[in-house]
Amino acid sequence: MTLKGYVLRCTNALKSFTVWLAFGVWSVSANPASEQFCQRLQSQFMMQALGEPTEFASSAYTCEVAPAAWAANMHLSPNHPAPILVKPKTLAANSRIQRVLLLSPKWSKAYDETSATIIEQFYSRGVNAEYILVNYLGDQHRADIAIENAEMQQAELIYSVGSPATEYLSLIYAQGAVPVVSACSKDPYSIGLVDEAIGMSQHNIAYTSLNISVETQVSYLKEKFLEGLNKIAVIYDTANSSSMITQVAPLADYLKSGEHGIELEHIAVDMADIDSTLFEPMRSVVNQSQFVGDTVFLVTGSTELFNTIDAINRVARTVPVLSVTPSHVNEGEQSVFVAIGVSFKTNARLAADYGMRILEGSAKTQSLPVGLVTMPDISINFLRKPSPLLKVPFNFFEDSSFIYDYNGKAVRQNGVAVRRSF
Amino acid sequence: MNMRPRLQTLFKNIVSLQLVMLLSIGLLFFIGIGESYRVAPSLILTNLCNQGKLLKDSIDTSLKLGLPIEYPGFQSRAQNLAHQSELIAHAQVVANRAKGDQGVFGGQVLTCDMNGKALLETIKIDWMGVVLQEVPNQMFEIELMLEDKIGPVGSLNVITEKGVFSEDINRIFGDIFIVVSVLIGLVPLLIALLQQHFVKHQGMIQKGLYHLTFLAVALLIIDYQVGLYGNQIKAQSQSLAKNLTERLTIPTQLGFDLNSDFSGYEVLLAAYRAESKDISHLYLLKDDSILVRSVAVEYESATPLLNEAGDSAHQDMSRLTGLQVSACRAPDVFDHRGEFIMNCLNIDDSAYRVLVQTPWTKVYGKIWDSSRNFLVLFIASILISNLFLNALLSIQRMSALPQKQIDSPYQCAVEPEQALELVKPIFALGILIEAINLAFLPAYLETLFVGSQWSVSSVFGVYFVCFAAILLPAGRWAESNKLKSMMWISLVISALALAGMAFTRDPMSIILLRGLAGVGQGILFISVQSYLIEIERQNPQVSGPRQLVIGFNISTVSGAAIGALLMPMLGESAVFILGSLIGLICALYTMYMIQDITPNWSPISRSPHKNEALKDKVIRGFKQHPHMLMRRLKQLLSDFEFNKTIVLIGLPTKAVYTGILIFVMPIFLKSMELDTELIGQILIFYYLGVLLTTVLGTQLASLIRHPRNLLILGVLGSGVGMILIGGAEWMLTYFDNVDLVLPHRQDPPNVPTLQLMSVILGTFLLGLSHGCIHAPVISHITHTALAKEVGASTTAAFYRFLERLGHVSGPALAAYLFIDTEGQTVTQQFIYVGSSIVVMGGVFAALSYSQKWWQKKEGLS
Repeated sequence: MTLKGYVLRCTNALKSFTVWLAFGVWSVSANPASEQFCQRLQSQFMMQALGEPTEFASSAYTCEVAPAAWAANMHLSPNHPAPILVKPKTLAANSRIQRVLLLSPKWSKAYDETSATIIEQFYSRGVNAEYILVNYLGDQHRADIAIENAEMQQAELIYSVGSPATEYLSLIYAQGAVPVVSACSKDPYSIGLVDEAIGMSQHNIAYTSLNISVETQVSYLKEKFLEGLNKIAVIYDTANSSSMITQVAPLADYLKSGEHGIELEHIAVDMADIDSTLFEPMRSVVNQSQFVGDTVFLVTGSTELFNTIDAINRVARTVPVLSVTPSHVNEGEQSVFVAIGVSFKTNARLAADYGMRILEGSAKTQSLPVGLVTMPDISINFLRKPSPLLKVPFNFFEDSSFIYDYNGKAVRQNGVAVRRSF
Repeated sequence: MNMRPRLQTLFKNIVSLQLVMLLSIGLLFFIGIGESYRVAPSLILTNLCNQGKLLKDSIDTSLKLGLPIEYPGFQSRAQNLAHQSELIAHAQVVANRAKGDQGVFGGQVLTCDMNGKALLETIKIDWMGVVLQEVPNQMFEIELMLEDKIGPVGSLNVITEKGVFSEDINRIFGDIFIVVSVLIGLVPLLIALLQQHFVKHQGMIQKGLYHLTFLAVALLIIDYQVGLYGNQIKAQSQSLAKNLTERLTIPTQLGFDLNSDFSGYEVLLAAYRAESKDISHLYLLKDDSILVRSVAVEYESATPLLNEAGDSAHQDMSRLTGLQVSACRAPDVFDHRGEFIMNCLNIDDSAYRVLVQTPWTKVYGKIWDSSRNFLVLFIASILISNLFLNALLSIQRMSALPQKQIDSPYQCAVEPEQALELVKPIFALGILIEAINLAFLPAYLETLFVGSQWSVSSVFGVYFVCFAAILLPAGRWAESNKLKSMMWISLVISALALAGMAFTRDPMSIILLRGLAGVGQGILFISVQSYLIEIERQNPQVSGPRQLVIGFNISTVSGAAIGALLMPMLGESAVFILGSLIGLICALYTMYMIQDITPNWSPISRSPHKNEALKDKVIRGFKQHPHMLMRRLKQLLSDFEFNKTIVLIGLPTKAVYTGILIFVMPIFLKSMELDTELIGQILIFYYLGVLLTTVLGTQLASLIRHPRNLLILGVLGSGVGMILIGGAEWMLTYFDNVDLVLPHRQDPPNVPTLQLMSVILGTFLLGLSHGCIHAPVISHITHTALAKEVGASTTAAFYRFLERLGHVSGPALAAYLFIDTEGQTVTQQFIYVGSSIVVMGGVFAALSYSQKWWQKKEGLS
């Protein structure tokens, strides 16, 4: 080798070293976004373990910026977090370590909860794995790079966390090399990702649904709760097409035959004119109600609509206001009476179960049926119980993760009784 | 009389009786421990599981609500469980990742669905603990799976206290052991002293006190067992009440009111009653008023009904009875008055209570179910021990009498009655060593023959073929040699065949060993039969074949029952070795205690070949015997009486025994959804029936006048028995149809119970009827003109041989007639086959009476 060759090699090595050093220095000191990412996740781990976040407790995981290879070709800045690496503290370094990528499209508490739950489930079942979390901030190019890097780093599983990530991966990676499982994503049937008649993807992505099936929903309402139910007035925001597609349309389709003895009344709300599009139709429904429990209002997932929940409850009078979104049951008056749906955590557990089966080799993405939670999460706020005559089934009470008493105060949160000091 | 020999005799008598008592009461004691270990641990396991499930359900609920398995609250709840329970030493929640194949604590893992036998195989009996009263070190682990909404996430591991299964049993049987030791030591002394004063009633005193002691020990064991089982059964009901109360406590602790805030208790209570069938009444109470109830159907008419709104139709009926109120005034205490166990628990500090009622009849029923096996075993051991006692009495009598002088070649060295008592244990134990395998041999062979070219049925086929094949040569041997030698040789053969079974797992060797066992049993059968026939010849008051049937049935009942108990305790090999040892001891007993009844009289002593060399004898035998056999066979088969008896009585009876009783009945009873133990106990009614008629044989024969009439009665009875077994279902269906036309009929009969009663009655009648045939048929056949010509033993041996064709063909015929293409029993066939047997009995009667009529007429003319 000539002197020139040596010089060239040394220069290249120095360049590389400088890049790695710069990345290292930057990653530990100059990327508040990654640090924030880790903090958000650690907070979720604390919630998982203790029921509520605690500053002083330490979780069972370490969180740090992922090795540079995971960030190769990725634009990093104080607002663009580097991929982070989460490892259980008890990771067995001498055994084979599996690598899992969790790809999310934006900052979201729901995605944090989903990611933390998936990691916690893997750990709980003894999977020896490390997790790389990438938030692609809605930048699809960044998502492409994350996937390329995952392939290079021999990741064995990818989670698409959130509907946008799932829809994007369905578009570009259905024939990809690394198996994908969707989490915290809308019903894949309603948004046309899976043919309902087939019930599975037949490609590289295994889907789970954040919605309960409409059969389960109606069965819980009529057979287990209100036996005299004959009308559901579904309230939805006309501007929120997602809720119309995933919640209203399937319910209408299911009840149209009339064999369930339930009439569906549509209350399509124009948020610019809620008096005539929301309260007027509601009053009409209330007036038609013969006895407590023959009619319910079902509020669909829309933030704008939910902001009017206090008024909705007032107008509903003795007609119960229910929801299929567990987050619609809250402390105080900003709440529906009962929510029967799927929480992010339960969906994440199902996604984790799918992922583990794929890693074990006992299932394939192509043939896994769309994951639907059959035992929904229930939340109850007794402050919003519309009539003393209305009683909650005892098994609903037992199955409720969140319960608020007649003062709207939490008595059970995340399945744990809340202790109060008087 | 000199004092020294008298004292020696007294001492001998006491020691020998102590020995017999040690054997028989020891057997009862052994059975008591075995049976207690079979039943009590499974009740304790149910209790442990109920307590564990209480926590498991609660953790499962929390897991389904989203709590992770690592939630620290689960561990503290598990520790509380261990702290509160007397049965649990430690409890821990374990995540899936921490689990291995063994229990978390390395202990043996038990599962809640283990039955008594499976549990016994795991926990093992602590024999030394009974005597030494040491707490064993054995700890067990019960693993209860924990699940969230998605699937299993871990387990709740409950670790038992040391000796949880054996401590109570050891304590109880430790007490009984002391009582038994004292009784065995003192009762023979008392008997000996009383016998000195009441010389005329020596036998009665010995038997009476012996049986009284035996009964007292049995009652003591049963009493302790009832207490042991009863406490566990009551605790099960308490666990469920506690579980329900804990669930209902949660909302009250969170500040909710059970009545005004929640609904759906009917479903909740019904689910509890469905889970525990023993609970008859389940109430949710507020003060002394009933809010919700769930009552078993059979008690509904006696329980006040609520109207549609859930309120009491009558004000008074929503209130509790006096007994219920008093049960709730003293919560957590069982009320022993009335027909129910009442368990009333407060829900937190609220006005609400849970009242659980379990009928005492259910507890008694369960205790009966558990004690039933012990009673069967008690009967088995009393039958066996009675044989020993009679043998002992004969030995005592023999030793008490001066040596008998034999003056005539026809005179016997031993009295026939004594000879009978001495030979009975040989046959009984000879059969018993085979019968103790009955309960487990097919299943054991199934495991050994997996992948083998031989089928399990071939083992049984070889056994029966060898048994049948040796009958005729053995019959000849019985007439030309000493029966005593035949007996001990056959016992040694049987013992060796059994011992071999303990040391091999090779299918071919097993087949050969079973063939050898068949040969041994065949020789034993013929030798004892010939011995008994000879006794009967010398003393017509004694029915030899009757004793044979009694011995066979006692041994089969006892052996099968004892073997079924022994196998889980000792394992197959140990049972084979035990059987072999009994066989060898029995052979030694034969050598020392049995005397040939005709020592100076036998065909061989009159034979011209008496002094012939053994080699020449064998060569001559091979040349002559085939011709002799053919000649005899021709003679027998051309005899009308012999043919009539074999075709109309012998073959059908044996075919019904192997085909219906052994082969079809277990399948038929299984189709009635009866458990295996109950099936076995129903079949025992057959053997008890046989025993009863056989024991009463002499009285019956005198009542009926001619043995022929007894045979006719037997055939007709067995036909009717079969009609009763299969007919009940058909009759009840018929009456059910009639019921449609007669709507006023009240209280329809409980169909399964009536059918069961009819089956038991039919089985018992079948046994009674076969008892009328088994022994009298040999007496009948050996008293024919032909028997006088060819010899009683040969006739009997030929008859037994031909009868075996019924044994062999029975299962095949039954399978063809009774089992349909789906493997189900065709019940109507019982009626058809039963009717056919009745017709055969009719034909036999008609032929016999017409023959008699003709003979009378010819005599007159």
